[in-house]
Amino acid sequence: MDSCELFPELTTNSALKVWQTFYCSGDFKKCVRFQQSTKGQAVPITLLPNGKDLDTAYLSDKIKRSAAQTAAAPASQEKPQASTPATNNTATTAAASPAINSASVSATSSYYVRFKANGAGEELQQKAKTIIEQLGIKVDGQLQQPVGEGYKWFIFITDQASGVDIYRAALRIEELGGIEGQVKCISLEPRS
Amino acid sequence: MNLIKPRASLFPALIILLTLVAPPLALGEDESLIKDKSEALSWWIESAETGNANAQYTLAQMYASGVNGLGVSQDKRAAFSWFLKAAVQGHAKAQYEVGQSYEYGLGVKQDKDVAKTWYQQAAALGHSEAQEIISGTGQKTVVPVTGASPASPKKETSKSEPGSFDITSLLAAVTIGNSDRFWSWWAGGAMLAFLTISFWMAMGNTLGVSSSWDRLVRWRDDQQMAKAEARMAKNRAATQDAMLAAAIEEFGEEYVKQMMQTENKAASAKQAKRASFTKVPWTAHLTFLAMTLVGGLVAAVTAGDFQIQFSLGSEYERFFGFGTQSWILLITGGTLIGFGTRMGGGCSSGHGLSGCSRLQVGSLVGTGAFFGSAIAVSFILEALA
Repeated sequence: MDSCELFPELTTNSALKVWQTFYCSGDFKKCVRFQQSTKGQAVPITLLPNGKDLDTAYLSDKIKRSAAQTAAAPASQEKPQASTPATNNTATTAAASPAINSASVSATSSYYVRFKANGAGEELQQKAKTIIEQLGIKVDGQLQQPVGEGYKWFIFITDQASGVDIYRAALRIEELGGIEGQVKCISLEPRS
Repeated sequence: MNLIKPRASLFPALIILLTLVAPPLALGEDESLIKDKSEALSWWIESAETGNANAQYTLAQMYASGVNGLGVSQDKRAAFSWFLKAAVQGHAKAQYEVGQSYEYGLGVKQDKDVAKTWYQQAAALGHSEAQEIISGTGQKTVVPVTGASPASPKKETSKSEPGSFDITSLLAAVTIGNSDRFWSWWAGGAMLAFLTISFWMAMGNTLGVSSSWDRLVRWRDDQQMAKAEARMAKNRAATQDAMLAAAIEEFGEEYVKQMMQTENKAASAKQAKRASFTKVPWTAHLTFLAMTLVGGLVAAVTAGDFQIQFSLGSEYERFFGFGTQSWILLITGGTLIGFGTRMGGGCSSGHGLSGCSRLQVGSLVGTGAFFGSAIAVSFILEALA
């Protein structure tokens, strides 16, 4: 994992840690990146652990389209086996498959978004709010809660938003740095 | 996110500096090698006395020129005696030297007629200089190896005869004339350590010749990967979106949601060190490989040993012949080594220098296998020969 270029990416972002759970810390032998590196082959940074290639621009568009379709999406879905992720060892382009629509349901909900930072985190809070709003999510309220040792919780309550957009916001907020731990996101209107 | 570290640009300059400065500094005398040479001399004498023509020829060369480092003083009679013993066994070079001895009266009474018969025998076995003398185009002013000048043996030994056994090229290179200089073992070791450590410090990556060659061969892939990294670094938001989408597709949104609701301690983005395939660009690998050649050239030139030759060495020719056949075998062997090193994840430099210095178990085993198999093959070949 020391030499894996993608590993830090999967561990620094809370929404992406699922990759780490199933591959890096789970069944790492199924990781195509690992398999390729043990064969002495070069491992492109765009190669995902499941063997698919990350098509940045295409998936970005898909996520945006998906976000726009969230209201119509059904709520139920089947969980993959925890011990065996749906690995596809054949390197394919993720863009060639329905990346979001088949897997993502992204029902809308109000969200509780929280992160911890030091007491001088007002600027960070403002930046986080900007990020959320730039993703088309309305912020209904925000507050701060001291947690001791100079740290505070910075909390946002959002209006109806898709889960995907909230996760996107979390990824961007974590990218800002200065945050202790991760950005936590909880749906306030859990699906039945 | 800066995936390409700027310090990578330091390495070409560092490696060029090391290449140019190290060889002259590392040249020196080594008492332990002199001791080895003494042992080698004992071996030659013992072997010559048991009738080994090549050993007899080698010993004759030593007596002909005198080897101070081995305590062998010049003795023309002894030289002639050993040359003669080798010559009667059909050793072409020795026959030529016997001819020289008779022609110039070195260690034996001058007799040009007898000299001519020995030249003829040597020429018949393909000795080029003897053939020139017989055909009348030879350089009559050539000072024979049995003469006062110690310069000839080195020149002579560089021209290996078919089927000849001439390890003296190695011995002569470190004991005779201007070639009495060599890399001290401690200096060579220190330089290798310095190279390995400096490579690591400059590049944040381990050193390996086969890996560098691999990267060089696939330089187009390297460029594409660098572009992909740059694209991802430039478009962070899009990259994250794409990875999120891929995660949702792979695991389902529920799992991602669980991750977002769990208070796990994600590493800070600032703390995480992002590795990069292209942190050592292919041009750095090219520089490294080119400098291994330049370094060898600098070392040879500063030692006064530089010469262009197409012989693969007398030891190689002894086992594998010479000419086209030997080159085919060499290329085949090199190709197999290439496959082997990639299968083994590295060659002797990668495992031996980088891996062993980091006490990597695989590298320790690999290096042991490299040297162990080399020693075993040497014994097998020697037995078969």
